[in-house]
Amino acid sequence: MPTGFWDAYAGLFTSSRDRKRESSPLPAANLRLRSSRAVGGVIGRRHISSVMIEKFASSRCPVPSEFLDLHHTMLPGPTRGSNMTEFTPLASLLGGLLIGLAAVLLMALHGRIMGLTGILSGLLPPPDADWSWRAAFLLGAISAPALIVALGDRVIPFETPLSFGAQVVGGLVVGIGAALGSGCTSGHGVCGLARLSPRSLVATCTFMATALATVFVIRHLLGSA
Amino acid sequence: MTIIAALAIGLIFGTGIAVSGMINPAKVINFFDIAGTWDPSLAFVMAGALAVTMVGYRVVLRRPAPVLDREFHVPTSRQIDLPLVLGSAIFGIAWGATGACPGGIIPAIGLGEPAALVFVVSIAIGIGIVRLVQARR
Repeated sequence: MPTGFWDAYAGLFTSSRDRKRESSPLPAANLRLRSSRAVGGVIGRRHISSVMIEKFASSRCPVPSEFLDLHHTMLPGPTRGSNMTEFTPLASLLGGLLIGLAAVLLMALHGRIMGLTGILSGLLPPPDADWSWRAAFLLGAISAPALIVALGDRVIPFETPLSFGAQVVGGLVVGIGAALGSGCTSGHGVCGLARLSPRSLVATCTFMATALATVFVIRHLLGSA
Repeated sequence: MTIIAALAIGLIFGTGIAVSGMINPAKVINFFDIAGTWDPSLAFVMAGALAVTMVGYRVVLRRPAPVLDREFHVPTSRQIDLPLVLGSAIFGIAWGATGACPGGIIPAIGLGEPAALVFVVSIAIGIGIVRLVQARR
């Protein structure tokens, strides 16, 4: 892979604030270092990663040893701060308005509920007869962030604390629950609530409550980040 | 026309998800971590989305039919049954643990994140399993 690819890739993990602060061109090593911190803060403040440090040490970009020491001392300690994400009320409100606009347009034009579980479900084999608008919608949804990053030179943070195995198991359970419950955040939480559907109200309250309880148990009772 | 319109609406949706921060699982988890690193941003996402959709649906659903279809495809069931509650409870547990809901994580594929792809494929398989079991009954 060309260096530029990895720089861009690592850049996705740094917050836009970091990016602004360091508007001057950075060596690849520095960017990678920052990216690991952003991820490490979430992965588990206690054990980021001798593995990651080794990866840096063995990476093709020469990283000065004092840099690595600095990295060690800068590692987030077992404090609450390490999981922080930036509070973004305006951007989130604006994004919410756009999501609402999309939901209204899909109803006005296609007469469909904008529930992502339902839209995805209709594409699974054997696909529904009306698979084409579903595929087009998902293609648009996937293209949008790619276009924002490519054209707008904006950084969209994405961090997950989970290992590959946990992603697979977690994803499976998300899918099973959403399909069994006939909807997820978009279908029940936005479209259903907007229609004042009693089923969606029950579903939304239920998954909000179990999500809150789950995060509390994982973060504060089991104590893992 | 149906396809182009769906593509455009998908673009609006994906932009909303990206701008709002719903695309980031860590942010979603923090929304639920009120006792810890709480990030209330997603309440603003919900508020914005609901406000527009509530008003918009009022206007749209008064019309006899959508522009590109013969009828509105709106769920009519009002029954609150076990699958609804059990499924939602299971979904919430996994959503809290992963920070990944279908709407947030599908657009994340566009960021080139391998994790997003892993999540989406797993979610699709999960949905497929339920469909298979339900079809057998």
